[in-house]
Amino acid sequence: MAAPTSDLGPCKKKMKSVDDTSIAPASTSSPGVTIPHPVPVLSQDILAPVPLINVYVAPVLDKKQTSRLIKEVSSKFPLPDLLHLKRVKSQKSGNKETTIQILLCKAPSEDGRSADSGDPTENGFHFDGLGKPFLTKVAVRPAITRRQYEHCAQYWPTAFHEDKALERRLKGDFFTSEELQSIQKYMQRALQAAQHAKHTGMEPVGAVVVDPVVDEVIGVGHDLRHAGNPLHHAVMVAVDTVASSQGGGYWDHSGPGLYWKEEQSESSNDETKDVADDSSSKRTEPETAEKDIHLKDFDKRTCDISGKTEEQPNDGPYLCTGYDLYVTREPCIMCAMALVHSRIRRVFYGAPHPSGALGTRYSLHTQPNINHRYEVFKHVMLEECSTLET
Amino acid sequence: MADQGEIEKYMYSALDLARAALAKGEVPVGCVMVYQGQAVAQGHNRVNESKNATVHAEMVAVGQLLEWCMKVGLDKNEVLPIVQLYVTCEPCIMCAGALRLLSIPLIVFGCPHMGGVAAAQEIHVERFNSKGQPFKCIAGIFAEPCAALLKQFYGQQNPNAPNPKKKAEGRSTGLGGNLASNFGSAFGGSGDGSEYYAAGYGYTEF
Repeated sequence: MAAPTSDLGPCKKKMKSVDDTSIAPASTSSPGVTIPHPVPVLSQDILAPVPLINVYVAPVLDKKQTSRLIKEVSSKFPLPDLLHLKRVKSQKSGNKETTIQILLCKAPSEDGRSADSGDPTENGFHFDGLGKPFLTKVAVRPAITRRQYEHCAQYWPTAFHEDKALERRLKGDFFTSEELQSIQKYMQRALQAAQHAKHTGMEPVGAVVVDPVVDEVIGVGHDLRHAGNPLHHAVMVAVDTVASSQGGGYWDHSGPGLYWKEEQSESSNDETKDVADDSSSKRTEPETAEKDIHLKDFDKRTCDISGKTEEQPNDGPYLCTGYDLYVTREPCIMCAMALVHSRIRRVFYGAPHPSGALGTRYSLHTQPNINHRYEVFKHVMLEECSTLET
Repeated sequence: MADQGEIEKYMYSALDLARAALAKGEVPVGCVMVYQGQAVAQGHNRVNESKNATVHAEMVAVGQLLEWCMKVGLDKNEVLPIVQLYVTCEPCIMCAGALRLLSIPLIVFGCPHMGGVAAAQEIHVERFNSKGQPFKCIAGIFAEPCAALLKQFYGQQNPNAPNPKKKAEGRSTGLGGNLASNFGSAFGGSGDGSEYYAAGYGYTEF
């Protein structure tokens, strides 16, 4: 979505990003058609192995002393940021003898800055029943995925709470074939909007906001950045059409020749469609068309200033809460944050974009401290979305 | 670059707009855009009125500026790179991205966003790069009254939110905070933050 035309590279180049290799997009077969599975766009915290750090451990010489030693070591070396690790590791060696090791403390980090304490063997370390401490590696934070857990557990026993939904995402079999069909259906609508944009000289990006509960399109938009306001990317337009559907809306996108207007008139009556078609030809002279739109907009706004705000019931729809967005191209940072503000539930996009903010250049949706979270899936109808740009 | 008297004058107008927003039950943020020593566009947050969470003060002002360009027959692409934007609260990530796309060179703001994604953004700042020009920031102009309005608003309840929750005093940014002062350079990829400076109005921390 994001950047002006000059930024557009060939989209296929971007298809190969880190997470593609780790998650093979599975295919769900339904009779006759195979719809490729959308690829979840997840954070590196989920995809990459958990980083390891050095710690000191010591062997327990007499197994019967283990529980006493745990108590003593724990009070001498509290490890508040390594709570995911078990304090002891018991290992069966070949001759059926179980050896027990106990976790002491973090080792000084490699850049020389000391951790909680230095080498415990140096400053008068002595516990009855412990052997000579040595260094080993452990996971620095809890594992999020089973794959990470299995990696961590090779080093040191660690707690793990499986996130079932996430595991299904990672396996790629989380959408039923009905869901896949509906995802495709809505992306098809976004593609239509994008096609319309392309034919009217706009940036070929389309966006559709869907209420998945009632299976209904709430808002449609295509890119209008070349129609006067460079910020009117498809997502911004679609979000405003959702607002309009709720009795709000700020930007006057009701101008002639707009995809969603034509769509409405198609279903209502033919006369208005003719009007819409007539005026869509006007789009070739955007200067005049724009002026009209903006003056109208201006009037609308100045009237508003007298300011009677209507009381709306609070139980109606609120922004895009619970809604899904389908957009043909990866949103830019402005649009990605607009979707945070709008409380969108899920984002499905087609083609990645070099300055995209949902996986390519940046991953806004995986940042901590964002005040709303949404899930992101890419490569929906990738082929069709990628060829829009050419 | 505007002198301090100028800066205070425009920030004063932005504060008036923020107050007007508060009176209408909107998040009290006001914005003024100045072209060649003349305030040519202004706006305040209109999220509740429009039921569109993206209609922040900056977005409204940008819309007005574009209209104004059309009205007086100026090319927006010549105007945008030399306007200054005054806003009572630090732009959110969305607005920072937008201002960056528009190549607006100077953002003057009052109070910082409280809470948000500052640390994460700083880490990834140099990774972010897109079109447009990085902007400079002057922060902390009338920071206290700017913040006081927000506190007053968030001390109340958002009339449009479903099941409004009591908000703790001083917690800001109900509709999406997030520090974006780094985004000027973040979006440009210059990334060293050296273009940022505080104006010595008592707020210097970034």
